[in-house]
Amino acid sequence: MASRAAIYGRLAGSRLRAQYQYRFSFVLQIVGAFALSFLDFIEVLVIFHHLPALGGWSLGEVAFLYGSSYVVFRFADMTMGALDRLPVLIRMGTLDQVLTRPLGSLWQVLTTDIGVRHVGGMVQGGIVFWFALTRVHIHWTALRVAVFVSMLIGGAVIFCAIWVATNAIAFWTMDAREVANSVTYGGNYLTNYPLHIFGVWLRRLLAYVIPLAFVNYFPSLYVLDKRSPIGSPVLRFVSPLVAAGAVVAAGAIWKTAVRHYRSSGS
Amino acid sequence: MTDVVHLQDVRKTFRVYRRGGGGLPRLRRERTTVAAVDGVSLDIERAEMVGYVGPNGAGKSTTVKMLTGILAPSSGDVRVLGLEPMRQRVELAKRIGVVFGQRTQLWWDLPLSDSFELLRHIYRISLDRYRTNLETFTGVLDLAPFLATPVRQLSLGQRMRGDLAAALLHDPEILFLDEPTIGLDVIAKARIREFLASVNAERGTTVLLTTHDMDDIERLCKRMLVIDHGRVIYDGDLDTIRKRFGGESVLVVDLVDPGPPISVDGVRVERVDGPRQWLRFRRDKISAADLVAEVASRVQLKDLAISDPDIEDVVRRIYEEGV
Amino acid sequence: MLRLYWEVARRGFRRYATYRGATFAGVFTNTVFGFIRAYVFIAMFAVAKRPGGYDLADVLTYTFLTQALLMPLYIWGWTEIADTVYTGQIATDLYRPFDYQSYWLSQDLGRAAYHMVMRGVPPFVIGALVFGLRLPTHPLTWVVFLLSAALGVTVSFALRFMANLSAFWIVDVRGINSLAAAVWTLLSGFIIPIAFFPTTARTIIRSLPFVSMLEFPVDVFLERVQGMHLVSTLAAQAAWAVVLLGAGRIMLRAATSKLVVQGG
Repeated sequence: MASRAAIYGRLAGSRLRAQYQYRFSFVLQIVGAFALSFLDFIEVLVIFHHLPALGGWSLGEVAFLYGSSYVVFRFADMTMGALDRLPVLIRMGTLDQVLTRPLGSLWQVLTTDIGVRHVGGMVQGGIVFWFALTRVHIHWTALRVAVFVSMLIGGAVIFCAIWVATNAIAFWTMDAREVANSVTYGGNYLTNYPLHIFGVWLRRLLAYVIPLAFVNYFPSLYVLDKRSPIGSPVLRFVSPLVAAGAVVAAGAIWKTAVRHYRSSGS
Repeated sequence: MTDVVHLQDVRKTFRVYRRGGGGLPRLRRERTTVAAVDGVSLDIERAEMVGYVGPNGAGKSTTVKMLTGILAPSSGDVRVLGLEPMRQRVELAKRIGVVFGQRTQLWWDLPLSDSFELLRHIYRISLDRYRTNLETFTGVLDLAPFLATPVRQLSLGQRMRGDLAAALLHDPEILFLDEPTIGLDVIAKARIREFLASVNAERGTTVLLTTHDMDDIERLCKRMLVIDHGRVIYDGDLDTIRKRFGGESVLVVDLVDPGPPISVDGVRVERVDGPRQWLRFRRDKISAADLVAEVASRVQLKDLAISDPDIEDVVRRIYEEGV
Repeated sequence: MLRLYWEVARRGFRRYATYRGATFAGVFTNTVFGFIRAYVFIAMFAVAKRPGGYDLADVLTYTFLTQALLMPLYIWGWTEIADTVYTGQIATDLYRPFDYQSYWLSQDLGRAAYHMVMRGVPPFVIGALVFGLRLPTHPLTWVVFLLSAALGVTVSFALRFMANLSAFWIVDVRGINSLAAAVWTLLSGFIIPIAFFPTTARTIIRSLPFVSMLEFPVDVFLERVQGMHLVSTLAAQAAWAVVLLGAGRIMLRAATSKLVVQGG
């Protein structure tokens, strides 16, 4: 485990150094990512220009959802982004090389790229989040803080797991890249808004299959002390469990995908 | 048993889909099975340097992939260093080195030295061992001028040298090379061959070299395996093959008018196609220049060319004539 | 000459027809996003009172229509010309005996036709089956809509043409491209109807060319613009198309002379 951290750290350092060589372009990318992500929030602002509350949630509360989702989403994008290039790695034969080395395949693929520019997006998410905190009144208790922290950590882990599971599709077909995108980026979009505005089938999907409901919605209910027409109160506290389950599931999917690759070639 | 590589009746079949064409996607697909490797058995002993040749699509790369844990065999027994590559991939990976000719194992955007450092951590090489090896390889392969250059900016020859060093940093017991000299110029090829020979001789590293280039084999390997259509059709030393096919060339002549096969002592007319004839001769029996003169004295020539037998020729001859 | 461009358009259509697997995945994605956005708007319209003059049927139709037009307009990630700049292929392309810009425009229109049929129609039909969409009442509207969409594609092409040509001057186009794409996406009305924006913002955005790509064709389809207003909408689209194509030609000339100076 220690050596994996060493490898990842080394790689992050190398990548930063390499990108720092093109300082201007690098900074531009971060600033670009920052500016870009503001555009996403404009939609929320425009919607709230016409109404005081969406599904019973105020602008501040929706911003709370938006910020908490965006920060963890971009974190996952930064760390898992290498998987987006999986079809290219397979086609170029890099994956074969990966399999000849004494280290887990997923880990090696993740180290082929770290999207440092997404820090810009994370900062923007943080700003929206701070904006939210100025508009909502949260009664902070020790438990609330714990739930809040576990929401962020759990959310990041769930998104990472989703990233792994959906991109593993590349081992079966090169064409389904967009499906993976629709789950990751679509998932981010979904978690900007309170879950109960979506159709029943979608809510169930997001609670039991692709656990996006636990990225921010359910824990937020407790932190913001809101009532919800769906879900029992227990669900507000189980994010860590769901995150752990997601990791296990994603790992199993990845292993199956690699096994398929190793038996059928490319 | 000092076998480091053991294949017993190994088969690998692929399912190949062909689109039915037209209309809706995925509605009509024909499925055929292709046997890339069709019953291969071979053993390699420690410190051998073996050449593995065959035409394109013969099954060379597939065999190597099965030996290195990338691909699972459909049936048969595969053992490398006593381990099963499929089940014990990580354990085996620590003890083997692999170089794929046309792709690089190095990190594309990063300087070469960074790749080495990363590999040091991946293979958990002790600092001492790492430094010694790195120094040796940098010297022998002349890596110093481009150690700090990003890999994507390296020329093919430089990258190949980098790849070789990278594959040997952790002192593997076996080195698998898949077309390592492809696309390189003559000087680069010579340098690589020299390096491989020294690695085998000085470190006792077993080397399995798949190649399309007979010169690689000639310079490096005493033992050669020829594979075609998934089967090993020859497994033996190079000298035998060399004596039978090595010294032969083919003179292709275009006559002004089509004529009967030209008859010259010691020369076999292999093929006649209108005004063109293929004359096979042995260079130790008659020189190319003499043959041309002899032929020109008998017929009116429009054009001519000389070709050396390549691997396809060798394979064909082995099929036709047996060994 | 026109015959040539027709052939080029057909070629563009067929080229993209080979990516069948990607098309199926793409339809899935478009449909999923359509559904998600639809729910957000349904929640919004439960409370809001006719924002921008839209009712629920309007905005749901807008949702699936914009999803349908997404690929024909190809707002994100079209780098074909930039790729030829990086490979050097463009040097030979520019010497061909026909108009470079017209060639690419024809090809793009062929591509857009394919995307409209294969990636536009299915999600829209699915959306229409599940939600109550507003279809045009006058049969002529369909025809005018197609014309408006074609003009929108032309405007989009003109912008992409210039963005790609920037590869001549900028080493890494990706950063600029993605920033530009995000801006265009918002300002064309893809994320939310421009009609929803506050008055000042709305006026400013409508003076920009991006609305001609998407919001205008959608307005035509929803029959929100009639009579003279309809004519002026189409005229605005055409005008922007001409202006932007012209700007593209100027940029092309600058790029060509740069090529000549640098020796290709």
